[in-house]
Amino acid sequence: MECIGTRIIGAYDACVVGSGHAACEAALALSRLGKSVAMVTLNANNIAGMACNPAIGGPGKAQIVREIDALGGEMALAADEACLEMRILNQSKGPAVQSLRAQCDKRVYSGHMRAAIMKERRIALVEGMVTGVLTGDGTVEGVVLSDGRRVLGRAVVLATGVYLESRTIVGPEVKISGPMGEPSARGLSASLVKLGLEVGRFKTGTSPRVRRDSVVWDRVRKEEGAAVPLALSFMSVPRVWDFDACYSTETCEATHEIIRANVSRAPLFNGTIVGTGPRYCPSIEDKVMRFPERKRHLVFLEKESRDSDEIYLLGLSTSLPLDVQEEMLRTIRGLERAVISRPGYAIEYDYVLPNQLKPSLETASIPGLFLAGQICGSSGYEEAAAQGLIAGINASRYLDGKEPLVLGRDQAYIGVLIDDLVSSPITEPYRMLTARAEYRLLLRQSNADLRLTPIGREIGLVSDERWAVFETRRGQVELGRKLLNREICGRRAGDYLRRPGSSIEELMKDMPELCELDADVLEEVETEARYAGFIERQESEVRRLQRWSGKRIPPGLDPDLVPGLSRETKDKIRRYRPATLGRAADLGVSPVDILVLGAYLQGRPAGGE
Amino acid sequence: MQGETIAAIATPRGTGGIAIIKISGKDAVAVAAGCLSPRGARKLSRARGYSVFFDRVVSPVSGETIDETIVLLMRSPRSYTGEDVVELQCHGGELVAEKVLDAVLSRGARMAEPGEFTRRAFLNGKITLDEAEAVLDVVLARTDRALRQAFLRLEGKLGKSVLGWRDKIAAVLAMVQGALDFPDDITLRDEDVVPALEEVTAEIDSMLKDGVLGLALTAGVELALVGRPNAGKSSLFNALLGEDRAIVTEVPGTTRDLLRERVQWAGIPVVLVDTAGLRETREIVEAIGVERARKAAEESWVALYVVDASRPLTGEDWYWLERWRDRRVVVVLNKADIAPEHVKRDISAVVAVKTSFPVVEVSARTGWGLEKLKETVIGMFEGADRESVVPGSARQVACLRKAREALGRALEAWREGWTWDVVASEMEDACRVLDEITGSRISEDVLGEIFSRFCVGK
Repeated sequence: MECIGTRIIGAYDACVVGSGHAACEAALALSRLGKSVAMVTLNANNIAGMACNPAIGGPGKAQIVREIDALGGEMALAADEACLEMRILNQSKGPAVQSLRAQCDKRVYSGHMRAAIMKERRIALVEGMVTGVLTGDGTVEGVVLSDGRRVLGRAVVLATGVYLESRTIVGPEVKISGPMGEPSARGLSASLVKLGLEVGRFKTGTSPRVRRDSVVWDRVRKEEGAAVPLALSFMSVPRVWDFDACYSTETCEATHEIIRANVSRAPLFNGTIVGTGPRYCPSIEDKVMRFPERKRHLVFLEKESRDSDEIYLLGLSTSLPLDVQEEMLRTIRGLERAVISRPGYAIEYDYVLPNQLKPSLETASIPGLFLAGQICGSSGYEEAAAQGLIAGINASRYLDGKEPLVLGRDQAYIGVLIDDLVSSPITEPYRMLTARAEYRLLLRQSNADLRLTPIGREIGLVSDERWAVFETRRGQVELGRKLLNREICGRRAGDYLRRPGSSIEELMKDMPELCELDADVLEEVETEARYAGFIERQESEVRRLQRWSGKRIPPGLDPDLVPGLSRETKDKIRRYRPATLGRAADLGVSPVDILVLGAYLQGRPAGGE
Repeated sequence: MQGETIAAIATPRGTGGIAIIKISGKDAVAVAAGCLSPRGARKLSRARGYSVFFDRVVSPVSGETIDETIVLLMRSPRSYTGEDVVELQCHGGELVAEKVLDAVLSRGARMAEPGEFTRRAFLNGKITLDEAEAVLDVVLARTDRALRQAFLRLEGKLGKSVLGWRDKIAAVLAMVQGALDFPDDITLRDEDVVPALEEVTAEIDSMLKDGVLGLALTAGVELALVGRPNAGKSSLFNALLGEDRAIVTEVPGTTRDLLRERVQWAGIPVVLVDTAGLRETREIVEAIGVERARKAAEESWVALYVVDASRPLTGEDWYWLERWRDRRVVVVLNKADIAPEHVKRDISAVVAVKTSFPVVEVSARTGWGLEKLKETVIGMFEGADRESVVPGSARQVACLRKAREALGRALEAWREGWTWDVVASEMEDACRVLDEITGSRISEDVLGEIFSRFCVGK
């Protein structure tokens, strides 16, 4: 294949740059949709690595994992295979926010993803550092590597994570480096700027790892996992995961004293770090300085792998100098003699301002160039994987000349995620929260398959096997709905469930047919019936608001043509291209300008967009 | 943005101290200059920012002086509309004002539509939607008292209250939302949520109670005259109006449909509604009239229940008085001038025992007691008028009511034992509706609140 003359080492349908969570889903989706893929990565041994804590799921994130699974993605299957312990979060707070979280064996997880990629004949792994995107006539043609080699592809998905011009920071030590001692990706960022894309700089961080045998295990608390069978994937058989993987301890006043005494040496506070970090992922020095009244902060000890020697200290993310990190640990119960195998560090990296993307994740200015994951300013394995999947699907559809897949905010958390990224200002690494989803009651982890598997089937990612499993479940759910529609004693059976405290078990006595349904199906139809009233009202409320907030702003609208808009608003419209009036309002456009814009759009002839 | 030049007489028609002709738009200065003396025209054209001077308005046709004027110039954007604005303040008097306006129009200005100045102010970002509504209310307000209410709103008291509630709800929602998204870090306790919600609910309730009057002050307070046939409702209606508006006959059931007339009592616009007599009837037209009468009574701010004081109350009277026991009702004993004293006494006594309604004796025929009746009703206004912040426009009242409902549902859902995801959704609803009043968005506030108040995340 290698062609020495032009130094072209191969021509593929698509190039995927990176091998993290976004890149894996993108490459797998492309390959499964029949496209040949070059997966170009700095280190072919580092596939789907978990550079931060070894867990998949949590509020907002578990829903995303389920959605990826429902569409035919890989993440949930990998997490199930690698699972050490699973928890149900928010169990008592309602089905809409109930979320699974799996603590995973990093090595097994990575191994699963690697095997899945190896199984795909159409994916070729290429090791090397991509330094530029090749374009011709403004359209993507492939990528160029640092050694001059070229990989051609009519679509390119950049999923470079936190590697772009990254530098890691531990106290005074600043290194040009990627996470976990990997190299930094240099040059690509500048090439993107040359193509006209605007980049920004973010920061994130991670906790120190300590050696397993240096922890005094009987001085820390064991955290119990759920004792019921669970699984993230709709295709996995639920199991009880009983590996004792998680323990907890806490910081104390002495720990905080050490941090305060050394705050002048903290890169976050002395000006070394310039990138913006996420508010929801504060470092321990941040927590101590911002919440001085807190006497202690929880620390979780998570085993990274069954057979690894490393323990992840969740809650102690830091970029303090190594000697301060060590001193801190001396004061924490159970960690007094802990030996740090890898210090915590902060990492700064370039990201591409995601308002330059279409909702398909294709860049608006360069046809065929797609971005996914942390390069878009997001954070989290799940958020990255979701974008990878959508970018992969849409790169494939781009190659086929088909309309892109764009999920709505009322269809999936993935829809909320991408809509937020491409049409609102991102001021910190974006993490999914259930609070971001206005249709939260509809977007449950339990119904992700009912929402999305038919879409995945149509796209071509849902295998016959998955489709068969889905059809069985959907058939049961429909039967369950039908049963709950029947009348019992003059009332619709489902209406009994609208009372809190009622349960479908009570109905089973009068409706023995219900007993034939699987437990998960019973739970699903019960939730639907119970929440029907709230969901209906939420839908009608949102519809009412959408009468104006859902009013579409044509993508090509020249704000200068709208008389009376303030300059600030015009800038915002040019920059973020809000799709609707509601999104414009989210951007902080003043109500007056919203009205002016609304009046202008109203005045346009119907179908004039 | 400067639009085409518009002009109008900004002061109420009719007599008054001064009349103001307001000109706004891109050619406002040129238009005004064309109506002034040559010296005044030069002065105006050269003036930079605010300026005021004395001059004459000259007819562009005849060159004659129409009136003396004070010329007031406000350059864009520092004017009410945000455009160049010139005000010509003349001597009051309809004829003079019309002549000045004619002069201005002949110089190329267009007659402004009602509310157009305010609309331009709004479009140019000079005032918010809330303020625009209040200004329109000022423009359209019929009386002094309504004006005062409208000004209260203009100062943004309403906005302040709404923002206060919104902040409170955002704080509580942050707690709930934080607990849903960061279950490891935030524990949700009922006492951190429920009392705050109840407090906001109560405050909105109290404003909504006032809101009825605020609404009444711009639209007029509806006063329905109801009662059995031939009690003399239409006579009383005419007497209160001071003219023969309703047809009055001896035949019971003469009034078939509602009659509305606007009057003014103590500076408050009042809409009097005459209604058909309340009785069982087979006649279809009359039955519709009776149904409308009932509705009018129940939708009015206060119902005047008129009875014939010369006859004891009937079961039908009691049926209605019972039905409306929780509403504002004044029992009016009509024909008090000819009714036997003991009958009147008996009626008053039994009404006092069975209800808390005030009783007023009147004679529609002679006008006796009408002042007392007006005073009684005005007293009821005063009781409700706390000079507090009153949400006046229908849209604002509707939004407040919706927010109140959503909070009520949130609390009810909590009491009934629904899970927090549902309670949070209802709270979000309340926030969304409040945001419609203030025009801001709460979602980012809630996230900001979570991150600043709680130590969350790893």
